[in-house]
Amino acid sequence: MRAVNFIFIFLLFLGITEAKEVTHQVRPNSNFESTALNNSCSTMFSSPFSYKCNPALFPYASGNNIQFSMVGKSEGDSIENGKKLIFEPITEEEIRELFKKKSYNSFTFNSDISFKTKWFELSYSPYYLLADLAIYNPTFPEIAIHVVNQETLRATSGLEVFKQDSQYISSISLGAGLFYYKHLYENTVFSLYDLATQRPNQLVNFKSKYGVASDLGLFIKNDNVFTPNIALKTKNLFSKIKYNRQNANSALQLESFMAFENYSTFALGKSYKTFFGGIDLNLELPFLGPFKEVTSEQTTLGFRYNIKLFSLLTNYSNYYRGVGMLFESENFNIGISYSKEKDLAYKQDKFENSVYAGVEIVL
Amino acid sequence: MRNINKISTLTLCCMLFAFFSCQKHRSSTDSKSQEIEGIMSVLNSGDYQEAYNLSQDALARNPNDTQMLYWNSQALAGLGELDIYSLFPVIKMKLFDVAISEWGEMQKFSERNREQTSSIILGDSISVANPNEEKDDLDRETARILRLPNSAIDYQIIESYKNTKAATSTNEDNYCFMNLLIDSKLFVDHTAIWLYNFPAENCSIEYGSDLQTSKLREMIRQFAVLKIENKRKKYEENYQQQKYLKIAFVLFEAIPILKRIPYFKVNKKNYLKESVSGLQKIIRLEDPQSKIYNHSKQQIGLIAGHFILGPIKNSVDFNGAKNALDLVCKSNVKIFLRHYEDIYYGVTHLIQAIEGSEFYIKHKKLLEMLDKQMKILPKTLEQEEQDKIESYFNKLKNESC
Repeated sequence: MRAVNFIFIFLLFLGITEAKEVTHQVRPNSNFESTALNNSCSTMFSSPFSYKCNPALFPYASGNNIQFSMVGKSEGDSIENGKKLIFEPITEEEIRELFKKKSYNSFTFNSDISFKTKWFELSYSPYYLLADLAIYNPTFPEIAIHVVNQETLRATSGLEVFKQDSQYISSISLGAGLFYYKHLYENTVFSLYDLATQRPNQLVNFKSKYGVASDLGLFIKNDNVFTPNIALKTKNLFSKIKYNRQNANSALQLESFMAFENYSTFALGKSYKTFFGGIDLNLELPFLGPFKEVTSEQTTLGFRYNIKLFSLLTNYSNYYRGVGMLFESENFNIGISYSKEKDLAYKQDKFENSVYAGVEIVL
Repeated sequence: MRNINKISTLTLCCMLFAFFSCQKHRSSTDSKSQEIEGIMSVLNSGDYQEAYNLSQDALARNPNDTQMLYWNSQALAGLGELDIYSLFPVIKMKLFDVAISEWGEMQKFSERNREQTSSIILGDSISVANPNEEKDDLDRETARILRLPNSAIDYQIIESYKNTKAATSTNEDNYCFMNLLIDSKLFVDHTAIWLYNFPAENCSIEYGSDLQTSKLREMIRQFAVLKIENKRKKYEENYQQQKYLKIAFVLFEAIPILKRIPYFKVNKKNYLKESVSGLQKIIRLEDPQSKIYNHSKQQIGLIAGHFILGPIKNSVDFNGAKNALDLVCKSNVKIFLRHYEDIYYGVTHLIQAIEGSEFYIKHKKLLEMLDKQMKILPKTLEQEEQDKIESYFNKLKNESC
């Protein structure tokens, strides 16, 4: 008991490390819930769609269905700036303001169609879109962009491998997802002069990567009131998309983190059913690679309160704070969440206000 | 059993604790990246002095650090108050007039415009007849006339020329007139020319023997060659005038854009020159394929352009220009000449900056010639020379305006 408490305290006070990466709340295979929780949901077994967060929770997701889902950033500073930049003539004043207040803008979106049975799920994601844009240096403007469109076909399953009638380690489940991906991307830096003198298709040359990768998960459930549930998962195992440390250390280049490359998480959480509804708590600690290097500054606390058709979802970390609501009916779920975020972590001065919206149709 | 479960849970937690606490923490970003991040942050906020101070500190430790040289040059360009956005419309990109969603079309328009502008200014415009073809024609005819046998050159005395309309405007009493009959498309049959010094009634007598000899025919041949030469000079003058007129019209159309050029600030130019020095050092040290090399060259080009166009902006009253001629009439050549050294600096650095580019390759001959000229021209103008040029230009203004 004391050792467990010590783990909690230790994890919260692990030293801050520095990095130059961009993280996003909407990730491949995300749904609205995982986005609103900032992906801190690996132990939330009571949520019907948490196996998208951790495949080891698949045995807890009952029922057969076909589902269409979409989640993306719908409003916020980035969306406003993006609309102005793309659809209206840019003025010098706007550019100057962009440098001073909002030199980084991003947009993310994920869509999914899935067929689920008691034993497995097949899902197809035609679009996972990510667009990051940062501008530097007012005297000779340079623009860093990172644009991705990922298409995936995925099979997920899980099973309970151990069960006992006990308050301590009542069950252990394993889960895996195997997916084929087609990853179109461009990550480049060019000057405003280049933009003015060349065609856009000369500056942005999409490259592609294809391959098969896997997600693996482990979930240890403890029925004791105080002993936490434990989850371990590794995402994008065997993926050809690698974390580019050179880009991450570069002052100009943008490098996404915890999206396409192999990363892992360790989570502790607890779920309580009360008369007034269900409460889920989850503390998630990410690692680069298969538990190689810890990234404690991205530790996230997720909280879910659920009563019948309504769920309140919140997340808190150094760089993301959000609150969201999900309304569920038999066939239709809709959610909205408000978030303050720093995708660039400590390198971003101010939090960006964003709104995420998600829709799920369940048949 | 309960105790075993407790022990196993605790054991598992301790193992996990040991496992994760032993994991390597991600290595910190290196201190150089942090330095650059700091400089970029102050640059973005517009604090160029602070950016300069930070980059100078770093360069004191490593003077050949091209990354730091780059940021140092940016800080200097900021201190030089180089208004980058005003320079873009000058190269007709019009980024700020249309939305990004329309850039595809805009790009095509800009490329066509850019082609036309550079063609006109550099002399190989497709809308004006190619002067080289005309010159070749004239050269061919000259050579042909020089090769003609005497029998192909003939003449006809016109006794009654005095009574023709052409004769009434001059005192033709003492002149002989003859039609030049020469087999050349430049001299149509019966073109009248005249050789003078003898009274008309004596032409047949005085030229009699000459008329029958090759001497007169040779004189006519040389006269024809001279006439072709005059035609060539006139043609070149006309062509140059046409070109200047076209340049004036192009500049006139560009007035709304040229108005946006920033005034040249003399007290800030040393910052810009120092910035260019830094960028040139980067070009010497860096790989030509690298982004920093290309961006440095581009920025030198823009700063050089500022050194050329800023003085023009200072010396022409664009607000008062209502037609192309006003660009000449409302210009103050004294101010322009005061900035001769800056324009010279701009032109030489611009040529260096565009060397190797598509534009340079297309106009290589002309730009190489311009480069040679720049090497001959003095870097500064003496007051006496300035006065001469000013006087010539004022005379032109008086005649034209």
